[in-house]
Amino acid sequence: MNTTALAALSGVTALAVALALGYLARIRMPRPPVGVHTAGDVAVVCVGVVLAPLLDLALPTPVVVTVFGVVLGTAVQFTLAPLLGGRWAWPAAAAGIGATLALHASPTGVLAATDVLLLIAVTGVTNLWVQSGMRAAHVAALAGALAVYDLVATTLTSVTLRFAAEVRGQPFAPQLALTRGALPVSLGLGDLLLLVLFPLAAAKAYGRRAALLAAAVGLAVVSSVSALFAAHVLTAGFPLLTALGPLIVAQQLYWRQRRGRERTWAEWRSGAREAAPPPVNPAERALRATAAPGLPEDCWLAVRDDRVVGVGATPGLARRDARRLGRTPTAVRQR
Amino acid sequence: MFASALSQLRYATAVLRNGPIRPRDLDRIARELLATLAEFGEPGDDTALLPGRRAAVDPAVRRTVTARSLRATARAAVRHTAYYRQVFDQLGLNPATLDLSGWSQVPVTPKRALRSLPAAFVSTAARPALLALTTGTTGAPTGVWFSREELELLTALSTISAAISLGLRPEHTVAYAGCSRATLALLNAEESVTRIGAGFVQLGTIEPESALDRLAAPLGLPGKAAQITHLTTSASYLAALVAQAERGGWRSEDFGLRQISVGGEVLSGPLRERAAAVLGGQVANSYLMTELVPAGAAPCPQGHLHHGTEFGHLEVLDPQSWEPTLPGGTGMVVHTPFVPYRECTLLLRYATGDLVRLPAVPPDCEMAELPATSDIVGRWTGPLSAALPTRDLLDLLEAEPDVPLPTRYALTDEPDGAVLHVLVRRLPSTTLLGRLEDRATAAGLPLAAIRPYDDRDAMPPTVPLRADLREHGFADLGPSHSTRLAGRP
Repeated sequence: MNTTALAALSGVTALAVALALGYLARIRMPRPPVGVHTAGDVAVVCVGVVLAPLLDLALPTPVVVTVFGVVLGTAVQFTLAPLLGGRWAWPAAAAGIGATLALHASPTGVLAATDVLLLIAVTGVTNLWVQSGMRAAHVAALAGALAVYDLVATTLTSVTLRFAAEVRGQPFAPQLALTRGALPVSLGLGDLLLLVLFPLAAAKAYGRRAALLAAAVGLAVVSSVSALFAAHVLTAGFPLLTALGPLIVAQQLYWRQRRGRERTWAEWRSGAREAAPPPVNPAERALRATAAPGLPEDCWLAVRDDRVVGVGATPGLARRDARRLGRTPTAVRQR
Repeated sequence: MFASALSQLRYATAVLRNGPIRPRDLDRIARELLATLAEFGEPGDDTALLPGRRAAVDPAVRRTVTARSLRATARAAVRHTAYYRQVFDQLGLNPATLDLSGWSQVPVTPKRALRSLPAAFVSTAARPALLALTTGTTGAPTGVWFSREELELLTALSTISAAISLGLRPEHTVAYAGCSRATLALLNAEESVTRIGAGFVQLGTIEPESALDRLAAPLGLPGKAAQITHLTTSASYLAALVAQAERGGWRSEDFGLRQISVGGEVLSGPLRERAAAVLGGQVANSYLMTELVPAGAAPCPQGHLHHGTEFGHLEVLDPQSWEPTLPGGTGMVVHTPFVPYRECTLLLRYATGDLVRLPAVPPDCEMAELPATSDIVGRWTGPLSAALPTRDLLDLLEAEPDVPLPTRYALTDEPDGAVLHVLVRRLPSTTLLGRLEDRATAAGLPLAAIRPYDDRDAMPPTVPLRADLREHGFADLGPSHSTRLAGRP
């Protein structure tokens, strides 16, 4: 295998992650009035990933190219829409698709154009998911499921290899390929999605350090596998997600253990460094407050922290007494 | 998201076909909205497209959809209710051929028809589950039967409305100071508020002093605002709270209220201002009626009441001739709640008794696409009630601190003209009377005289108020009762 291309694969992966993270930081994608990513949506994605190669193998090539072209064009359109405006995003996406088709006489041109479209589409799709509320836990679940699937599809059966052979050289092929030939230097679309998706989800859920770690782990996996290919230890297709999936799950478990819970989108946007801690119960300190001697047994005490700041015959009057003294109580209790 | 999209698609299909709505679909949309708020802090784009959000619709499309909904509702009413089968048979009307221009052939349904036999309006195709009784301020309570499915739809719609219109969030706490017998409103409020994760306190219509105390008391709860943040009540009970607060030295800083929602009675401008001053928060009123839910109306910043077209068809008619009221005139709200939102008690051209004014010129506010009226200005009891609507009288009286709240008044038609009888704090009240007369003249109220009283028993019968439906505590029942209770084994 071409060792330069193998090294470049890590660079392209890093570029994809950087593009997506930059997009996440700057661009807000439109959201429907209601709807958040749920575990059910992860299941739908899993089913799609499993069915896509099987359908592709069963369908005629022109149909497959058309389907991939439409899907890729749509993804490019919604990725570019917030940048160019809806009016220009469709022509831009159509131009990208048209240019790829126009290059059909040049296999290298088709490959390069498809790669560019894929990078744009992956940036948009991963952002769409994360900006729709997909959580790091969802990505970890997806990664766990796809780790098993990739082992089955790539190693235990020949589904992935047959699928890769089928789409090789086609416009809009769902693989980021840097070389051509029988054994190209390439990443499957599923691999690339997971490599980009988890750093994004980690950035939202746990912050910059988690995102950098996620990106570094992904790049390390790609680089390690590339190195094994360069050293001829690996010679055929390798189930990248089988290696990456458990590492994503492990990171999710680590951060979850460390941070307690993920930040919501609103918390992330507000700049909160961590998810909001559980609220403090004012009653705990109110119970420790002691009343001055001489007060009636059944009077009510307005309490701030563990200090009495007002007294009254009823809870409301105790609160009003505190207000008159310029204090704001957090609880009232009977003496 | 996929499941939510499917629910929205099924809901839209049911609405477009006037077919039955699956409560589960609306319930899912409401729950997805809450999940969206929890994750993002705000809904996504185009919330006007959500059920009940009064989205602007092209007028031609609206006419087509309204005509179809009216036909579907009339067909269901004739097919499944005893009352409308008889009415349509007698008049030889065919519900399948009705359109908007012929809709006036359907006779107006008087309130007394529903009150006298609610079962005559219940669809044989529905399973009645809950009898919601009105408070009966206009006489005997009116009963409206609802099915379980309708209740679930209403809860989902209320949840969406509370989360978006009211901005209710889990840190808020809502106090409901309404009559406990107003079953539907109470059930809906409790269920929708708690679904959002906010707190709910049923205060009832207890002594205003106790209610103020509970509103002021810190809750001391983790994750909640320090005090009750939202209050739902009627205008007269709000007036009682304002009177007690002003008398008792309460100030807005004693409360944590953000919003006071008023419904069921006419809210005057002065009461709105006095309530905001002494209790704090924004005072907002909307229009909902047990007989018409989920149809209702919401105010715009320019003071119009805008009636949604999704759930029902509004007509404003002259209460005597039932002809359409002209722009600038006063008329009665006549409403037809649509199937499939309603399936149990079906009503066609229901005369609500509520009076509104129509804007003299088409509104240019942000909700101008929706039918607009004034706030509810009163209740029809005869020509005098339209000439001197409650709103005008309350605007006059409730601006006067010497007129005790809630305002007790009566209007009589005497040979010299209309006479306003009003309870004041003390007699003689020459200065107050002079002020009232001057302001009545300036407002153009056609009053022949204003007669003050300091004894309510000496007055003609006054307008019934929801604030009078007081719920007692044991302390209110006197020491002998308390003693008996204490001695009970």
